[in-house]
Amino acid sequence: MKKLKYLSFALLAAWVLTSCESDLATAPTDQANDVEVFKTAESAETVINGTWARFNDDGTTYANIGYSTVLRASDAMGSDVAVLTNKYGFSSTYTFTEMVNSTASRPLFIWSMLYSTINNMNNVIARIDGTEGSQEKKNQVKGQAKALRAFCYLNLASFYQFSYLKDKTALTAPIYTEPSTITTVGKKRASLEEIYALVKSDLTDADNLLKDYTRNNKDKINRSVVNGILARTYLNTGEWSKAAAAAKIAREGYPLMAPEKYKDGFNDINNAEWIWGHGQTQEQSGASYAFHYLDVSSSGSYYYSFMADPYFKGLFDTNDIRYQLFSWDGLKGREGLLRYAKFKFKSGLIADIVYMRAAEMYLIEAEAEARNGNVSQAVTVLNQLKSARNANVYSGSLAQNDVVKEILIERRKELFGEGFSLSDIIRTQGTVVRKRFVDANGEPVKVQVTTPDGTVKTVDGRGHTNFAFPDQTGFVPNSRYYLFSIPQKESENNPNL
Amino acid sequence: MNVGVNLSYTNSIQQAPTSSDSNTSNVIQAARSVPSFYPYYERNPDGSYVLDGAGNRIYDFGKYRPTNALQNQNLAATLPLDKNENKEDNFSGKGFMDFTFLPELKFRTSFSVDLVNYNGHYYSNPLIGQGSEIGGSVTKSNSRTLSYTTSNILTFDKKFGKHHFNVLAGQEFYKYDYQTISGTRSQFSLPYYYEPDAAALLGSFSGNSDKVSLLSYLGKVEYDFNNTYFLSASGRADGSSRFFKDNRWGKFWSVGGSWKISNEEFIKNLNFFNQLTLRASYGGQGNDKLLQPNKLPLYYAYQELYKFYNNLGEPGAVLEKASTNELKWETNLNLNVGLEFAILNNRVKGNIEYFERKSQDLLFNMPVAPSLGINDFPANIGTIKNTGFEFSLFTTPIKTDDFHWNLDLNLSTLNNKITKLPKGSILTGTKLLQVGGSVYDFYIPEWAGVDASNGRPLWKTISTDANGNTVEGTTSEYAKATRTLQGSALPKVTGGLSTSITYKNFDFSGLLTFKIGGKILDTDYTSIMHNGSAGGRAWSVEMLNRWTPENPNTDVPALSTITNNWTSNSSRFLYSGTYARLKNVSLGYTLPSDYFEKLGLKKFRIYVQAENLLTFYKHKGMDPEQALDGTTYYRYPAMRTITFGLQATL
Repeated sequence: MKKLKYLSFALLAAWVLTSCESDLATAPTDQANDVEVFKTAESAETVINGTWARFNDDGTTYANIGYSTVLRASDAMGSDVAVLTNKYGFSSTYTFTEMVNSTASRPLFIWSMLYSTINNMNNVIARIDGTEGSQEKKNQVKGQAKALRAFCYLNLASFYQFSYLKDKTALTAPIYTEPSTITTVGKKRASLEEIYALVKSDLTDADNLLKDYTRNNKDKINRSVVNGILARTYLNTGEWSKAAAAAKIAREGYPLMAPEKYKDGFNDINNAEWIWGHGQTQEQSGASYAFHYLDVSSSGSYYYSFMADPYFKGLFDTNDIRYQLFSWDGLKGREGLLRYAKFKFKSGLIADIVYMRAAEMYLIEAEAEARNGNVSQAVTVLNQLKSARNANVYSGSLAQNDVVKEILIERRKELFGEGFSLSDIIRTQGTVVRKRFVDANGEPVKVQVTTPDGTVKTVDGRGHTNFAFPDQTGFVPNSRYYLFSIPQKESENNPNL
Repeated sequence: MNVGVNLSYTNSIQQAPTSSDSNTSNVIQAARSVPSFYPYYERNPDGSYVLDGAGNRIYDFGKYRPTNALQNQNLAATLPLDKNENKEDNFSGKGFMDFTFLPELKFRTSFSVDLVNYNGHYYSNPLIGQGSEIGGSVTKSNSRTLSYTTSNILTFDKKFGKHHFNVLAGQEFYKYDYQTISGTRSQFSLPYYYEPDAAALLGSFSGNSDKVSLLSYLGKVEYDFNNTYFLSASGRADGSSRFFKDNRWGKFWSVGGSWKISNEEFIKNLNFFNQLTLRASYGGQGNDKLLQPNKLPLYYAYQELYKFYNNLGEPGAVLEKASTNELKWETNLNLNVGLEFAILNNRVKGNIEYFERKSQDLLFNMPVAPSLGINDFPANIGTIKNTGFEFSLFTTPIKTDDFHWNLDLNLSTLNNKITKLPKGSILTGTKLLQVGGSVYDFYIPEWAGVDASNGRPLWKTISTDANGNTVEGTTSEYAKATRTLQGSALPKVTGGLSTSITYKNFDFSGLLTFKIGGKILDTDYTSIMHNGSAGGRAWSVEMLNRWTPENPNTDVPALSTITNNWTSNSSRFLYSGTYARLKNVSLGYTLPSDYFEKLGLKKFRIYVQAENLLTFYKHKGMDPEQALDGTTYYRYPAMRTITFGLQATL
């Protein structure tokens, strides 16, 4: 026994002495190095998937989760969502104090998210040609990388500077097209014109590279998505016929949903009309958190804060399927608020996120045609959408201004809560409109609500609570309060900005 | 040959709710956030309780409450039904084997091992509260941490008359091996079933493992003459798995000496010193303890890494860390000079020490312009120097058979200075790093009071006008305020005073700790200082002094439901860190032995003891014991506890 003990110690000692330098080579188990990742075109594709997953589901707080944050902020800063200011998440965005504040956390989150996505795509674009694999696969990966990069730059151009049609030389945000290393020095802000040139060339390349690609789910970027982003791009730059043409290609194969489907909760990527979105599962549910703000009719919704402005309700015909989504809230502490039950959680508190629908493409086409002077074509396209929603068709004035105005209102009605409010205001050099919900005498408008125990009560209707910018001036077009600020961390660490 | 083994095992089970962090389930945070007028049970408008069909009261989860008053939350109701359990098994073992070849030549091979097994079990109930929306959920996690060190040391130890040599050479190897798994399920069909098997829906399942290793070769020579003059020198080479192979090895050395002056005849003849020793040492140590920007350890510091991040069942990876091949060891060069003494029959003892610690190639996360799209990365950024004095005195003023009194004092100072940086300055959080400054210098906007005319907050701005002159002004827009240096978080002096007295069968002891100087930015306090924009959140009484047309001269702005950002970091919420605290005081009485000897007890003592009984601190509401960098983060405050006890020794 004793001998055995000594022997084991001796063995241990021998083993100990042999532990050597090879033990110093360690590697993580939840991360892979760049050589492994960019070995084959298939493994390089994982960077598209991974970047996309993080772009959607990663967050720094419960109110800053993925790209959806940009969309929520855009609506919170518009005219139709009356954000409840005593709820977490978007109240200071709604009152225009957050996005203008370069030290706040949301400007840093959005800026970092867009640029880390860009850098990942730059890595893919720079290294995909050197991987092993078929040209077909490489084309697909490169096309998707270019499209996602373009999407990020389009967002920078849309929210960090005024309209392209106001001043295309305005400096906006830096452009990077090569992978960053720790020795890369920050670049100076590029003009809108330079950014849009890159966006258009990336999307045109992507359109070519993806021409033979068939996707397996709507999280992936295919030609429809590329053309949808192109349509948005051309709408921003005022290239009307190109916008209309791209919108038409984008919506091919995505029929408008049946009217009743509109009430299903905008939570399912399988809806025939969705062109692009982000699916959610019980396991991957980060982006679903957006519904705690958007969903104002499910008991599981936590914040319940994206209420509708009562004047928004007035924009609808009563036979419109969308009109049925309105109801006055009768819950304790919430009486008189206006619910617009467009967004609803699925069971298990998850919900897919919509990024692009055929309806938007109809609206882009209609607007582009109208602005291009093809007013009757515009009205035809607009009325296709209106009919699909059981709304009265437009039969008013065919003056270009009136038709454009009608289309912009239809955009608000159709795309409520999908993130277009602020970007449309910036793009059209429009203004935020928020009015008190009062009658001609300045008295609150009375509405009827039903409390949970069934009692019907008459209470004051409640709408917007913010009517001016933080400096107490009224809402105007092209206000600096509309723009997202470049975070302080950028100006502190980028000497060339 | 000589063999020894030492084994130990401990086991702990902890069941406690979250009590730190900004999490809404943090009980301390909840108590601070929810104003006391929100009820625990639902009430009717007339104040009576709402009752359910069975006549029971209904918990009020406050769906109607503003978020800032923790809507949908009633911790008093859910905590008894939820579970927060941690179980830990801790095994450690040490073993060695000595071979004595010659009386003066020994070889020792030894190992020590620590194995920690950790099990977490978190459950939120399906009956009430937010968990009921998803039918409750459970997370179970397990981790196993194995770390071991092996060493092989050859020692030569010999005396030649009054000369004594000790020479040592050897090798050490350290390995850290960690693995973890965690899984979540939801949708329980029945309450009071806590395990994942009882829940229907799989949420997530995750796991990973980490390895770190460190290989060292070392040698040391010690020499002393007549037990009076001591000299030593050592050198070592450390190879760390965290660095790239070309920069993995750090080489460090040290020298030291001491002089036991009290052994010299001329001191002995004074008949004054019981002990007098002068010590000095200088040498370097390595540091490879890298941290990620999120403060978690960074084990793989050189490669360009892509983190696995899957998307809807398809594999995914996303850039996590840029390549940093040049990264190397940080070297800490320590200079220590000290004097130890004991006089008056060891009734007064003390030591004085001066230290200077220079950290070269300091490891630091370099902030990056976010437009580069990479995270902050670890870098060797320069040199900082920490200097200071440490002074301790132990005295026994009274020492008789019945009466014994000890009184001890310790004081220390710390000075921190940056002596080298790769670029002019680095901004990190609330601090500015620049040569000549310290890493503890607050760099935040200076509060300029409240605009008496309209009640808006003001911060100072400093700009340069067209003529190159510096213009000072104020702004009400926080983002336009100029950040300036606002003093250091480092205290001038920290110390403690302790005493113990025994008189006959009574005993008394006390410890007072104090800190003089240094500033603390109280960002916890600001949560109850909102200007009304966080409606529903509790308010500090200081808000009563808010600006109104009748009270225009104040340093609390006017109320509004729109935020004015006045609680953002500024000198307004920078408070002095000077405090003193009676950490511990106890009084005991030992019963005379004849009372209890019959019971077979050796000793029987009754006592009363208090911890944190008194705190002398000007800024109310904050625990002055905060992190060294002077910022707060929802820490669990030190509790005042009073204990009455009986102590029996068998």
